[in-house]
Amino acid sequence: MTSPISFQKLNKSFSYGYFKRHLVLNNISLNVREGEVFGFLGPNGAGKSTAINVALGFITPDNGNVFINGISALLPESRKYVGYLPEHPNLYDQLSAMELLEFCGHASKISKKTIKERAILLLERLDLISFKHRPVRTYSKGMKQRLGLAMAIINDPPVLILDEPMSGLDPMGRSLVTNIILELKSNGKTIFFSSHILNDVEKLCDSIAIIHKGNILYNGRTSEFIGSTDTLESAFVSLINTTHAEDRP
Amino acid sequence: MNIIWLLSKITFKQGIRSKVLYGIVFLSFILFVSNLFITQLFSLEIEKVAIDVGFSILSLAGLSIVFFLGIGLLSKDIHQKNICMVICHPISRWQYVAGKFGGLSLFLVVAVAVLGAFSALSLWMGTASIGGIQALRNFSWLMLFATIFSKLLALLIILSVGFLFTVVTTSGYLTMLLTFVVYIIGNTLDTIIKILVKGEFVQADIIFIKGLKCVSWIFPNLTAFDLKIHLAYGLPYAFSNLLWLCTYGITYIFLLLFATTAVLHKKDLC
Repeated sequence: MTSPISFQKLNKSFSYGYFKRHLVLNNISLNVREGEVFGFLGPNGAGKSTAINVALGFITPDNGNVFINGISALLPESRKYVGYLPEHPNLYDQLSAMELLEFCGHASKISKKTIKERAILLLERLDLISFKHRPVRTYSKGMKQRLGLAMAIINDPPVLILDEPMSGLDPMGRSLVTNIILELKSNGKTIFFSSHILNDVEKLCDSIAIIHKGNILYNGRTSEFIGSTDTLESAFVSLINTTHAEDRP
Repeated sequence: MNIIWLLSKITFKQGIRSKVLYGIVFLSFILFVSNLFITQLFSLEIEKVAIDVGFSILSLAGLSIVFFLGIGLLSKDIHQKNICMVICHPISRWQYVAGKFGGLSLFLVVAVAVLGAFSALSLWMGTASIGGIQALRNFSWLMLFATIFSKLLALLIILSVGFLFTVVTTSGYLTMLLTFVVYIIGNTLDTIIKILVKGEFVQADIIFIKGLKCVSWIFPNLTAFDLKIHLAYGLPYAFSNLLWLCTYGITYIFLLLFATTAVLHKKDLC
């Protein structure tokens, strides 16, 4: 069976200075199972966002590839099956929530009637209905984040990629988004998300992968990783510290 | 095609709602009104002054739209990563470039039509004292339309230059600066060649002049799109010239958009 998201021997480096290159992703291979919530964890600068950017076709890998439902991420068709929420949604400020949702719906080629129905439903669910005709520039950070989520799921995609979905949300917003992710999970959606908030990851994710300095340190069930330690956070910190200690000469 | 139209529509909406537009409209209105007073200060060649001032205002307003609105919007998209909001859908990069250019072109067409109408109005009111617009030498509405159209084509060329520089550079200011340099070269190179050909003030090698002529069409030759002298003095302008100008302008725009797409295709967006 084709994996909804499959990273295959992915390498990516960025140039700096005149001739130097910094390796960000080092031969990464991951397979996300259908219908699972997959947490992608790692310290700042580990390569999480780069991997996500390759999966969405924003950047081209040096070697290897990412496949979405078996289609190369370099092809625009692969994004038919994906909803994406970035850490900081950069939205067109002059447009309203309704216009942005209509754009996303049309871009994903869903019917006008369905777009309208789903947009109203999502805006109600995300507490944005009374602001639907206001320009996005008047929105708070949390409101933009919630609108970003609505834009990601307007076309009801089978795969969701969420980059720090709780970023900028207050406790109410976090609880709302957590419930929506759980709802999506119960509807059989595959969710791939990166987060620093390990409590959320522990609560939501069936499996996790931990990336550090471009290398995958762990890839497996969340429960197995936590093992005998108390929390995901302590297991995560312990793994990263051990790697740091091994790195030292 | 639907995707391109969809992108054009939201780009057009962004342009209409941009605060920069209010400033440009206000400034243009003030300048058009002042044109009526400026023409009254002259007793000779009022029609020439009215046309010159009217079309200069159109150029200024059009350029402000291209630089502050067109390049500004695109630069925000590319340099501040707003493009990711579009590309995360099943939209390819060439569709993005075509859609953005389509939307901004549509905006320019509407803006130039409104500014052109204002220009004609100020010309009509400014020349009222000498018998109105019909009293101008060999005046033709067709020529007025051709002058406005060629101005629009020149603005679209500048916009496409801005598109290319936006994807090549890493900052909006740099894009504006480089586009402005191309605009200046495009407007002055032809005059320099004319001076060299005359040979009154400076002597130049014939091969050098021929090379310079080629360069003037590569840069692009924006002087060729300035037909206001023909309008002001009622000089004849062959339809074949206009056709050649359109072919040159449209080809130039297509080539630059092709180059923009090629660069954007290779570019890491985030």
